[in-house]
Amino acid sequence: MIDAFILLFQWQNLAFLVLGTGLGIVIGAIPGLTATMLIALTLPLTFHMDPVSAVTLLIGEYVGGISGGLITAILLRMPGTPASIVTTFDGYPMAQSGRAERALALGIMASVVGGVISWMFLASMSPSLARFALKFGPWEYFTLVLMALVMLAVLAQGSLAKGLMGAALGMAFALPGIDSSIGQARLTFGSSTLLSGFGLLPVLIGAFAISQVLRDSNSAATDLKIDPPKKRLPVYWSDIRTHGANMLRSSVIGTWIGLLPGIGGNIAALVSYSTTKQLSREPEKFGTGYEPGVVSAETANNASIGGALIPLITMGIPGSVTEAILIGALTIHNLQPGPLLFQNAPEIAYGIIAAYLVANIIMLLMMWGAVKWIARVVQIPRSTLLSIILVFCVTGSYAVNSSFADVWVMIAFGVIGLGLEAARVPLGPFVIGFVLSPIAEEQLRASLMMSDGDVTEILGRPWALFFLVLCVLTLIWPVIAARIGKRNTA
Amino acid sequence: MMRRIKMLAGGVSLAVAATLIGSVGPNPTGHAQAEGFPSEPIRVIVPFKPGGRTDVVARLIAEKIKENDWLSQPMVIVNADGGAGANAVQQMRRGKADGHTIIHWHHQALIAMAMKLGDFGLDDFRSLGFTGGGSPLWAVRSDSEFETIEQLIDHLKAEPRSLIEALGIGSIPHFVGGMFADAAGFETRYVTANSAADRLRMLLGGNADIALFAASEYLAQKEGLRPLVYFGLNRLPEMPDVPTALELGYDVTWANPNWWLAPADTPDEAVEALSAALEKAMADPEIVEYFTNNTLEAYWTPGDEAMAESEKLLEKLNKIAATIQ
Amino acid sequence: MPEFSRRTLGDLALCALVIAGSIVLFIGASTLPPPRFEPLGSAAVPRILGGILIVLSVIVAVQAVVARNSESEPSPERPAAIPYRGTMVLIALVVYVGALDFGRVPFNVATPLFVLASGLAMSRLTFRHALFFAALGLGVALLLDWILSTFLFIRIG
Repeated sequence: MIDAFILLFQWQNLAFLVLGTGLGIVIGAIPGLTATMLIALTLPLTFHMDPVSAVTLLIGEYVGGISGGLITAILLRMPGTPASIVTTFDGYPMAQSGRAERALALGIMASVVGGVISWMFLASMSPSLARFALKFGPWEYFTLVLMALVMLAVLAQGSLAKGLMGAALGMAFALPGIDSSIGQARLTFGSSTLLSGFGLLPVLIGAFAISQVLRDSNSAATDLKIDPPKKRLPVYWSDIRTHGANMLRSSVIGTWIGLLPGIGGNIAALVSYSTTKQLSREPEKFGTGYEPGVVSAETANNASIGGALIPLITMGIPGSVTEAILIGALTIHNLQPGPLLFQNAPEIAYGIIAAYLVANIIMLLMMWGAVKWIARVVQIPRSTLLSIILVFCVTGSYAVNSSFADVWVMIAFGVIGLGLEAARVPLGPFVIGFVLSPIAEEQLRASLMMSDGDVTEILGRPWALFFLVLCVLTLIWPVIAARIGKRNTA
Repeated sequence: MMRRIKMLAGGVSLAVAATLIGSVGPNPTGHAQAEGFPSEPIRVIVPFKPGGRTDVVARLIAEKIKENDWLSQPMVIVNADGGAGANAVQQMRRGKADGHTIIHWHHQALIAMAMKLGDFGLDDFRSLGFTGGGSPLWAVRSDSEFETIEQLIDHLKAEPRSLIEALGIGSIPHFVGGMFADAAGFETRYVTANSAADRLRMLLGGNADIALFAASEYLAQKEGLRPLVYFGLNRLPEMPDVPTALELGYDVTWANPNWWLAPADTPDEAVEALSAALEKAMADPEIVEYFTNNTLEAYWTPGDEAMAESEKLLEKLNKIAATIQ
Repeated sequence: MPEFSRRTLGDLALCALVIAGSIVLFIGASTLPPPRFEPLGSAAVPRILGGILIVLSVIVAVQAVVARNSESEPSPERPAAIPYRGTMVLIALVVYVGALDFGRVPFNVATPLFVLASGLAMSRLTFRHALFFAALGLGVALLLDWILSTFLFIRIG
């Protein structure tokens, strides 16, 4: 392990890590461009590098990309990556009320803390955690995702019926395409364009970025107010006391959810956000620019990377496209992640682990230095900023699959998003319902396939039962909390 | 860092050169096979997300061809995932049928056709050839009670549907497993697992009993898995003890070739130039080394032969698809 | 209907659209194959979601009608809103993507024109602004095109 750090501090490896993290932050911050795209792009370049440099570059891009997403999520309510959807809930209201720098500073700190804590899990107990995660079958996946869906109801602000409607609409839009459970077309109405379904990125960019641009362009004359840059960033020692417990809990949740392949940073952020809200003494403040909301979301989505690296390194199981590309980069150098990696190429296995920690620290230094200037992005005249963002969105949606169909989907969802907001249907549940329901459906049907249609099989699965109990608790908790509140005031 | 800068600079000057030359006329420096083709970079559409085998092989071969100037223009890889390849075919149709837009796929294309997923069939393509391929195997957990495939088959015959097979319905594991189950006369229960990673996760975690893996996937993992039967033509030297289905008396083989396809109306001149470059790439020692290291066979099958083989296989697949739908 | 506020009408319109959408779900689900590998099959989730959406629509509609009199707070719209600007930007966006997709207009030509149009739609119409946005659009277009074609080998259009 120490060797790995020494290797990492060879100047060219460190340079690649800095380069990768920097690129990742910039790309992650631009709505429409994601870490996955960046990594796919740089993949051919790594063919000619030595494997350690290749891995450090890609890990840097991965960490930077997920972290960079918080910038636009907070400043413009446009999540740069899917993982920062939840960050918009409280980050944007904070920025609107003139606390942009504070929100950014907290987000960055939370990201780093989440990264470092999940690194500790990664470095110390990878094999046993990976074995634990492997035991999770379709029932566990289904109940976990169901729990996340139930938590959406907790997030709903204003009318509960409209929050649920948003979620159900999002789920309905996820239906067209190839039904992954039977490999056949569903609700495509004979269109071969619909066969690939609505892509996550076009839907996300459309619902958040495009609709936000269209809304903002109406009031282009009025620019946001923002505090002038201070001498030092608004982070205080007292934050450890106020946010410490939250960060620790969110890191554990993030790492733990990240462990499960196929479940991404957005679910991690959602679950830890709702948990924090449920446990909070002031749940009504969430969604109005409340600091713990930003902290829990950003801690968890970064922690989920560390978690996701565990099955990747120890088992060779990628949790996301980004990680599949990482595996591709290794196979080019005749290295295959998996249990044999620690024996065959320990410098790579430990190199990944070491690079992950250092990338987090580099990310902190870079964003720390830049945050004062980044925060002033909102002072750029709206007409300029929004026009450029639109061009980026079009280019980014197109570049995912080189397909104009995706760009049209993006525009359509921009209009849908605008309409939903106008009717006070929240967009958060809409997008999260869209992301989660395919997983929930596939896993439920896989469970039933496996058990020959026998639902009672769930009784023999303790973790699945545990998640089910949490679902129920989540649903009835507001009632209990209200009772306790009444008793206390009485 | 220097290396990277050099590479970037190389890439930039190459792109600049390409645009300059492209606007003037045919590339004078390329000792190309045919005049006029290629006159611009060749787009190779890969119908998958980046990182998988099809993607990596395409990128390797493209890099090799560029390095040696076997075509006067670079080959560039474009990923068009989604819709079981329908997206990629649409991309291909957007380009002209002049050989500058081609697809690198494998026999999942035939499965998509058999399942009638997209609006495309073999008539839409002109086959450029196979550049090697690999066969899959069936594995169980290493602590499984089944030491040989015969034990497994006997068990399944005695207690039908008593074992769970991880597969994606309507994908290669389903078709290969289905052919094998048909030939041997047994039945398994299914659980959805649409990627190799999912199958590995299910099998190792005890949520499935049987799963199909590419031989290369198995050899990289090894720990925790026990291969029972290989669906190649001959045993692999890396696993001399694993029998093929063929030698056990079941006529089930699956050789998943890397298949290069062009639009149906592509002129002969372009097809010849592309095929020649691909054939040269497959003879290159570095490519062969990558293939061997990943238990892929490095061979070259010319376009017509590849098409004839695929037509035969499609007929077989159509029969299986009819039983699924 | 003078007694219905804009907000109530908006809610009712939303419910009508959602119900129409769920009918599409039911129609689509009716053509799907019956369950084969497990008891749910392809059609179950579309039907369940369709049902949930209809129930929710009815609830929202009832709430909207019941609450129409007790509505006290004025909707907190932003004061300086100029609604036609968003519409103009949207039209510019649609024309831009249409030109790229169907018209096969080169990216480097279409993008400056689009930035010019959307920029002017959001600011005052002066010659200096026009010049600025055209130059900005050209700069962004050239930069993106260079990055995409050099590193990603993606051609837009």
